[in-house]
Amino acid sequence: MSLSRERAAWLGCHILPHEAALRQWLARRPVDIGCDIDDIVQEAYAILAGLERVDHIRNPRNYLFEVAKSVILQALRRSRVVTIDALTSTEVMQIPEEAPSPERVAADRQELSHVTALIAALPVRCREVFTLRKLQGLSQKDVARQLDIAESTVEKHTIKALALLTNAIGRGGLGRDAASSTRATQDETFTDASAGQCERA
Amino acid sequence: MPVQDSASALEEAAARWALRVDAGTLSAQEEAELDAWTKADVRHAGAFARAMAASAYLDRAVALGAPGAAMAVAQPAPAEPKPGRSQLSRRMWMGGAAGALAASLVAAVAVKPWSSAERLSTPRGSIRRVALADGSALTLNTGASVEVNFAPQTRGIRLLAGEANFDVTRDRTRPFTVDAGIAQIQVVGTSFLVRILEVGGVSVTVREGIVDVRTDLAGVTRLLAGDRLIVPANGQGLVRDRLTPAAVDKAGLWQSGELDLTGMTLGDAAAEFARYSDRPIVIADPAVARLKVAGIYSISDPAGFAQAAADSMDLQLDQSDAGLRLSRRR
Repeated sequence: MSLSRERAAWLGCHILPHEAALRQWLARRPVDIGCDIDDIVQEAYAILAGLERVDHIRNPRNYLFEVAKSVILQALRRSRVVTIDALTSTEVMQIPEEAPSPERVAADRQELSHVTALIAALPVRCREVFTLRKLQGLSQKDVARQLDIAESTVEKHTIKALALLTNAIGRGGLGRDAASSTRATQDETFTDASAGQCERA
Repeated sequence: MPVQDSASALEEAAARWALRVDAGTLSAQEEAELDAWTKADVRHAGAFARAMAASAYLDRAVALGAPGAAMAVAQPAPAEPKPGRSQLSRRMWMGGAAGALAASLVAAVAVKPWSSAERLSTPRGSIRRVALADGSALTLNTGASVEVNFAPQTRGIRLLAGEANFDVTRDRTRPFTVDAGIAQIQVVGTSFLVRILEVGGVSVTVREGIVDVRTDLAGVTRLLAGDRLIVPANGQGLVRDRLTPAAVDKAGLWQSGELDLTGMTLGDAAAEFARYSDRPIVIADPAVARLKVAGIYSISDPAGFAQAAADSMDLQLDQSDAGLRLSRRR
């Protein structure tokens, strides 16, 4: 798969910051939709990476949610056993709206300090290597020389750092979305009350 | 926030490929391998795209000036300026960075630094986030109105109507105060919500940090994260309770344009939507108004909520310019 630098930057700028919210939204689904959240998220990324163009996408966050929804619906159609529950609840899967762009702007600044905190929280060796590689832009070879370790060790630590940071950003979430990441687990009403459904008193 | 100390094998494999692509060191054979790997499973392709996204995200954060570079290892020798790719790509991402910076400047100039009181307000149905000159941020909920009065030694806000969330930048030398009429709130650096209630009175909900609320009758009440204080209109009989983290989140949910109606009656939900919309939801029958609702809805879509309520509770929905009317089906 060839993924252009522009597309990677677009995904990083417009999609990754919403991944945590997406996961939270998916976790809040009341019924078992029969697929793993990780799988849905990865498939959504694959779809977004494969789009011919993205410049028509005005609201990337909603687009991401729509794509995830389509992934679920497709999985449901593929699976042989589909409960009525699952279908009705996906029909009413409402995509939560987000306030317009100024919200994002303020979030940007919060994100920067979060990124710093995340990097600081990496295991020591990972952090050293990652800082030299990514922040100072040294080559793998230069980092190896500087820290007096094997190049393969440098690569190993850089990989680990990137994988950890990817998860910290994508799962833990940054900025405003992260503040509510505990909601799904702590508020039990979400597990038995499906969004968009009402019950008689 | 702790960094998860685990990443799956798939995520590490994806990170490895992303870093190699990023470094531009892929041989033709490796490119073919990557191609085969991503084609083998859509999850591989997705994980790879995600790792590339994270890498770009981090590059952008660096370009924007995430202070990470400053806390480097025992100050390595300055890197020789690297020709080509790395710097080029950094500049490419600066496009987005510069855009974001420009946008935040636009937001910031909305409040001139040392000017006399500046009035900010939001019409019904809209939410506005404003960056203040000191780096704090103010989010105004529907129909809110504030006066910003910053001076070199003080940071003052008067809440004249509605509800606002305050994310306050820490500055011990310049106290940040919110005057909500019958209650004055003083903080150092924190995040909290203040709402002038429709029935009169003021509620203060603390999301982070410590907040002091002063009223003429009760003096100072210190609130910690998770505390909510309701000051009745006459200033007597303050009600203080502790909210669960979930409830605190729920109270601030409007900032993302959402409304959590779980546990409310249809009547309360209609009243909640009325804060945001001129198109009322009218409930014909008190028995219908007492039905319980659940779920998270978009603030800007009362019609969508009314439709969902009608569908799930088998009610009749009549839409007109005057409003949305819910009644029992005949």
